[in-house]
Amino acid sequence: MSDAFAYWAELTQADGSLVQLDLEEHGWAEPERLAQARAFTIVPKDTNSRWPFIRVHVPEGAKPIFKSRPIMNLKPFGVELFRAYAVGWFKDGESHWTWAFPNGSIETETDNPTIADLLAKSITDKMMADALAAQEAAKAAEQEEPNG
Amino acid sequence: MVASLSLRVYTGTNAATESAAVTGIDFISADNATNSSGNRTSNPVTVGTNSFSKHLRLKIDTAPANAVTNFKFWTDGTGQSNVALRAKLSQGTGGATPGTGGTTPSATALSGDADAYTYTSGAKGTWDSASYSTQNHVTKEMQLQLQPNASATPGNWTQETLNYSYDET
Repeated sequence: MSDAFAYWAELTQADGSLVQLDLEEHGWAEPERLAQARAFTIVPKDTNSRWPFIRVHVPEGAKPIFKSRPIMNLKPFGVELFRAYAVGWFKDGESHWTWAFPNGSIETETDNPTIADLLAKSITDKMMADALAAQEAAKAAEQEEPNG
Repeated sequence: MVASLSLRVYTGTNAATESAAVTGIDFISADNATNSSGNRTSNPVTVGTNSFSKHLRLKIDTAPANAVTNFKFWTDGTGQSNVALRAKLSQGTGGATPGTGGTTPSATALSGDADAYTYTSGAKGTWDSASYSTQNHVTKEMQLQLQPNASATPGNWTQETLNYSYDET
């Protein structure tokens, strides 16, 4: 099992049995076992992290769903800011999502979570402040150098 | 496997020449994929002219377990005075690299474009809504162009925040 995702997952079946899923592997969404799922749980791999534990109850006839969403900065840093995870269920043409974020936040019933935007801004602002401070420190160090 | 996607710049005729993976882009008076201070110094954009349009796609370097989709783009919503940033999303066709339907980068003002700053966290632009699952496939193209007008203050462009996201299933 790879450790690229922050979560591992578990389905609670209608008969009470548990099925562990590796969400990074092709075929985790095997239709037969999904059809029998009554709860979909995602558990942080690092239990000391701030990632929240989430269990979603799946109504009869609904399909458990999962996705992750990397939030990327194109400019000025060109890095992944964080990855959010969403777990939920799909029925009658509608998806019902519960989102998990690295700061421990949870947001439900949306596909455009506000917390993702706030967190992206907060992380970018901090990176910008750190970059500016580093530039100023380098400039100050240059000015302090004694003339030869 | 968890998908691995990289940002690529497309240059040359019909933007068919794919760059290696890049982590940054320069808005300059030349058609290249370089991202460096030297590149910006050597190819400055004169006020009252446009940068060459920058043609971008995301490339799937490692295939996802199922698919990647719902590619969105947004900015912080505000830019430097007298310096427009224009965007044209969802251009051409995605699929096998380097994709098709790209247009040749140039310093001519984009047409059929939009103010990139109208794409914000609350109103994200759709870069591509198609779904991809194959290694080495690319998304549709996003074009960006810097347009400093004649009243723009010469010097470095204020760094603006540009973000994108996608969904992996």
